[in-house]
Amino acid sequence: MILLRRLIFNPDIKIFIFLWLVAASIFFTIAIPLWQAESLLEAPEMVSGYSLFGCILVLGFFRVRKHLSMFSLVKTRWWFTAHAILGLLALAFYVLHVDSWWPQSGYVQLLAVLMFAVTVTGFLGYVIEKVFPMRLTQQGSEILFSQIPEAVHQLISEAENLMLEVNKNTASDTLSRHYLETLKWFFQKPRFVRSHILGGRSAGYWLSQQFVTVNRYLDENEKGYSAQLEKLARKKLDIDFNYTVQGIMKIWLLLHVPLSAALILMSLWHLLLVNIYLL
Amino acid sequence: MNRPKRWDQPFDPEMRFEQAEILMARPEFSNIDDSRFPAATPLFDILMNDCRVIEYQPGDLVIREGDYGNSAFLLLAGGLRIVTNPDLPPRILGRGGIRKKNFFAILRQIWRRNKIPEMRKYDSNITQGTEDLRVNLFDAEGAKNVFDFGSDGIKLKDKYHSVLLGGGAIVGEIAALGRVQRTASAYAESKITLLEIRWQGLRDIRKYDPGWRTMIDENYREKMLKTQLETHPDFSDFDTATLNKISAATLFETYGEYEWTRSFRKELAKQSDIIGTDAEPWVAREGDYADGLLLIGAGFARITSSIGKGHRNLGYLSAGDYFGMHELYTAWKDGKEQQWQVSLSALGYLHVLRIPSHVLHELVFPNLQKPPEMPAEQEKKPLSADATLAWAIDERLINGTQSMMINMDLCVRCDDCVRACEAGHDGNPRFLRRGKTQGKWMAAHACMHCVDPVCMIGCPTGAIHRTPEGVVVINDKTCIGCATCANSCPYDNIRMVTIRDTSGNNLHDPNTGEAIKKATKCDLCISQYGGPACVRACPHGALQRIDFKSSNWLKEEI
Repeated sequence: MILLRRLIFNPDIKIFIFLWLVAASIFFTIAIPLWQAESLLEAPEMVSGYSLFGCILVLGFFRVRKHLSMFSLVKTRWWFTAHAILGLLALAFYVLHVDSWWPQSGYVQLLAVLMFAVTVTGFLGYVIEKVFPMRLTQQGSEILFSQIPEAVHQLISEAENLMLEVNKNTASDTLSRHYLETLKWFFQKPRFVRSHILGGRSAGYWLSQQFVTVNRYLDENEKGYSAQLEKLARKKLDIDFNYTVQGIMKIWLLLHVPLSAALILMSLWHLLLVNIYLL
Repeated sequence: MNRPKRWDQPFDPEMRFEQAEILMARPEFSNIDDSRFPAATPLFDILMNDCRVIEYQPGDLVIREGDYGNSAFLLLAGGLRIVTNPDLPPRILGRGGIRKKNFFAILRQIWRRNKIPEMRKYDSNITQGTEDLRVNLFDAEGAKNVFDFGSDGIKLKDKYHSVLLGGGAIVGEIAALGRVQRTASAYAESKITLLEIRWQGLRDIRKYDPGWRTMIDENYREKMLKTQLETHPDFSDFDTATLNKISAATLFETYGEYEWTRSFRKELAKQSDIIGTDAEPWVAREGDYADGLLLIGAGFARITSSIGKGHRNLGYLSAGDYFGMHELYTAWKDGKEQQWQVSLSALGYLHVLRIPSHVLHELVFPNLQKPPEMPAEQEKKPLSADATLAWAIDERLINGTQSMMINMDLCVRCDDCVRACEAGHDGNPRFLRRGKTQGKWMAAHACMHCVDPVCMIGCPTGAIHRTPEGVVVINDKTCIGCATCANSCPYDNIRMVTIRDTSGNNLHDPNTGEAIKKATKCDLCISQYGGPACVRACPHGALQRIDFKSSNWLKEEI
């Protein structure tokens, strides 16, 4: 009941519903006359085409708005919500415009590919932005993305110093050999990226196995060093997780934004061609 | 490191024995019965360690209206003029300098973004200015609008109402003890000698000498307490005569440390449970006899109840809140013995007004329009509900009126907030997107525009001040880079930056060769329109600015 009341009286929900209603009204205001009187219109594709192009331009303005933060142009969160809803509206106009999911003729198919690519990356980004921050928070130890290379460098340096120390103090190279043969690989680059993306535990399991294996051949003194090395490896594991998750949250935009720019340019080209040659 | 002790650092290390002896001979101190003071804090030692003698030249500003100060001043010789109404212009006091940008100035920010960090267009001869920190109003910019410079001397213009005080007068004691803003500015009319008494010394003299206590308390009752009672919802219906009686019977108490700065906080962090220790002394203890209603005058207090071997956080109180009204009323109504049901301890500094029980029984309870509201029963909630509350209290986040709280479950770490801040501040972000976390919440390193702004205590030029809208800002032009504010901020939210010229070179003091520094911090985008850019720029609504006193954020979290 409390949840329901919160939902009803939540101003965010009200604005969210309002934006959906606006999008639906725009769509039906344009689509219904097209469906009902398609035969009477000379070129119904022009109406749906311009509507689609308008949507794409407004969607593109979301990026521009980010550079205009000094102006009070409604909170960005509402732009973001409107952006997501308008993206779906654009997809609806696309279907209305093409009259199917896949166009028949040449370069228009490239436009369709761009349209789908932007939609898919946008949808993927939406899911990533809803899921990944929570995973990052729950993991606990967070490190700023820009500080990751320095932190990894520091860890490698600590691990190598530890191996030099173990060789010197125990007169045994078992642990350092294991480090060189196996664990160095783990420290050098971000590892188990796929497992981190999918939320798997293979990295932690692999790490545990490596230390169980080597500890069989170590005495008590060496085991102390092994525990220290495992602590460093666990830190590396946390850093890899941060690198992967934060990286994914940035990388999807590197696909979505250039694809969107290409779509706007191609749409403009399409508009010019249609106006020059077909009308 | 041992816990620092009082007088490890005297107020004035150069204070001489002979000076203290001369002071002891003055009527203000010679009439004090020294035997009333404890052996550990005799009056003479207070004068030696908590006081300093300062001389001011004609025109020197002594007290700046709106400042938070921790000292009172006893005028030893000369004339001190207090400007009562209207206030002196902000410019002459070293303030102002921040204006809203017009549309075109805002538009220009799009392409005129500085690539050089912390670039300023100052003269090449800028000095750090740590030697003479005094402001002389007669020489200040705009002085001609405030003073008449005649052949017979310099006089304040007629439009300003003022009072001239002579030897023996004491000023600034209410602001120092009550931790409230100074209400008027004062300057030296002639060459004057003042005894500056820091807060700790003033508190002790007031505590042990009935004469000083009567004088300070009478001033407080007259200037502050009546207003506090008149504006309090439970007392606002009472007539003046009743309020005067309540006011006359009210006792004043102070607890805790005045300057709970960063070093103090590090000490606190070493102890697991500080409640009830010297760092957080008891004001009222669960089970003890409840002898009066406690009104919070300034500072913060923590409400706890005993649980196991520790103390459970039930809430906190700040200026204007009261403690014990419901308990005392219920006990009076039912004719039962009055006992505190929960405990109260002082967080940092606390100024309390205690209205004794007999006054409540006689004057307040019979005349209450409606029974006092029962406080929220946090005790009935599961222990897990305490985490955020305890965090907010322990970290003193409750001090914030504009705390930057980031919901890390929603934040996608895109740094759009930082970029928006940067865009509005000439390419220099004024906060760090990192800070202490509790669950999904992060309290970022951004100025919280505190209710109790420790940073404003001790600024020698008045560069850091509060605007009429409540925003704590720094006037870049009058900031001398002394770092007093940055060192005082318990949250590390003020940063000292080295400033550069238009070519990107660091600016240096020509006299000392040292790099020129300025204090910088979040100013809530006061020069822009539409409020803080960081909040507007967050695409997921993760970033909020929270006023802990007035918003429901904390209640919703627990």
